[in-house]
Amino acid sequence: MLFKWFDKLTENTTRQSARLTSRRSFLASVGTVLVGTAAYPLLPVWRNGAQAASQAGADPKEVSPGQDPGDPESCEYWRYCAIDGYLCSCCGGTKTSCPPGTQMAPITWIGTCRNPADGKDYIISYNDCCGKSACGRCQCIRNENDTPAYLPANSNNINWCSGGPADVVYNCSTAIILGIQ
Amino acid sequence: MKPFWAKSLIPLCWIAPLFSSAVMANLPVDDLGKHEILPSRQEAHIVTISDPNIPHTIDGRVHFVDVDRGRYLGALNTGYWYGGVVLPKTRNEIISPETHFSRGTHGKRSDVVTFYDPKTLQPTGEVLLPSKRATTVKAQGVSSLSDDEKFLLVLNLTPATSISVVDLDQRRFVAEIETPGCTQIYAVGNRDFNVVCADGSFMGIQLDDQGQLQKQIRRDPVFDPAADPITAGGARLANTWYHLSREGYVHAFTTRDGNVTAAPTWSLVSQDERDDNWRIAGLQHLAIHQDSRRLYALMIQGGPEQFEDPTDQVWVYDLDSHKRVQVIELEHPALWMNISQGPEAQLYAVGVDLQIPFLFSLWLYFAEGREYLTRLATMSFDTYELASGDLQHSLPRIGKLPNLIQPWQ
Repeated sequence: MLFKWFDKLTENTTRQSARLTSRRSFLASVGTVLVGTAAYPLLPVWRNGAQAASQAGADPKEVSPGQDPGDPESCEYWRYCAIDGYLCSCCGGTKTSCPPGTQMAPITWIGTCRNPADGKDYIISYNDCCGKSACGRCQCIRNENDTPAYLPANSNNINWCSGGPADVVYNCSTAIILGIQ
Repeated sequence: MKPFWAKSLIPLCWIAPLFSSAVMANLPVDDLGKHEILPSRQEAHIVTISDPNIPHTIDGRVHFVDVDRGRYLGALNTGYWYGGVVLPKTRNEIISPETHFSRGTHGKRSDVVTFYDPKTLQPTGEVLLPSKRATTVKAQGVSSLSDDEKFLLVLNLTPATSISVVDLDQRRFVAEIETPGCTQIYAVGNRDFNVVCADGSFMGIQLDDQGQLQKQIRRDPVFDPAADPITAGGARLANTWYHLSREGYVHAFTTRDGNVTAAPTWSLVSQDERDDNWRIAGLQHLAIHQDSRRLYALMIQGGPEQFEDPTDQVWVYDLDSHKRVQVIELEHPALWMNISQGPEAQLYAVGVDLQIPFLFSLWLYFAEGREYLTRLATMSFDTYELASGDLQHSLPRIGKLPNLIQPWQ
């Protein structure tokens, strides 16, 4: 979502040219990025292994770049299809691990993202890392299928560090494969 | 040899300072230790902007603005992940549900309701709450005053949901009420509140005069959250709460004699506009002017995932005819919008402002990239005349990423 409008502009100048003439549209796209700093996702899915995964500090499996294509420091990375927050990959962690000194919240929300390499839909768990203040780097918002807080199962408007071992202080978000849909 | 005119200037240079010092008196010595105070609500129209200060969320704030003069008045420091200030009409105090940690981001957590003097902005007292206060992106519905302003209700989310009740007269925490599956709080009387639930119903919470739970009412669903959920923001007209749905329908829920009834919904957009992808936008996107019975909604043309994007469009509707009667174009694309009430009402918006020329910002995007440009973006607080939509003031650099605009009337 980051600067989505500008990114698309480079790909499809004709379709976006009308918006190029508008200063407000431009500002709106900047604002969209700023909003991304606010929304912290997680579906209430309890994962007993979340804490252990955080402490491991690295991806458990090595895969070839071709199997898992894209840049984990980019909001456009395929696993981030439903993420909302700061990318742990830019904050001292990785796409599957928390930065030093933070703890992974065991309650999370999930998204279903299509891997462009194999065309399969993967279930992604966006566990938040908690205990240090917001990272502030690589904010990313992709609001697909977000719901209000009274529907918490799909709400990225809730700070899901709540109830975790490090309490409510949010740092960044991971994107961990749970399985194939 | 110096020219004649140069020779003439030399004595003038000697005389001029003597002459000016004779005419211009010395500035008086300033007093030390002076402090400004806020004007009263009778002296000025004051609007607050609550601000979690993301990403520096440990340092939440409330900004105070004199919207008659477009002047920044001062701020409160309100702790971690701030959820919005509470502004009573009848009590001479500012009420603020807050979370603090003893060592900044760690240590002992203290959730409190802090009371502030409305003139000095100094804290005057606090009430300790259970350390469960909800920390959500949207600040609407996370706290509520009873209509007589005797009780304050604060939403808890751990993520189990409950409500903390504070007796404001006694400045005392009096009860915690469990509300499983239900979150946002909407007052509908002196002792009655509704909380919206995941099945599309409103749970009724009725307090006794001591703030204890007297009755909890489970009701039938009045909307379909799976098909088209209503958003957290609501606007009240007597005992009717208006909400917008994600698909742009207006819902009106009236509470009477313990029951909640839903009026027929109506759409903010025509079928053509819906086909053209017009939809609701922003994070605080609904307001109602009570006297004129007009509804104000932030609207955007964009994809289904853009329902929380900033926009420069406020669409205005007559609540009775359901007709759109006005479109207000905002100076800066806004994420938050609210209005004041009364005959000379204003519209307030916090929007995105780069503070640099448009073409230069385009050049920066392509030359330096989006991350660079994002760092330059700031928020401006804009005041418009409600009737005409004309911009009256624009106050730059208000907060990092505010979450609630509230006029203090």
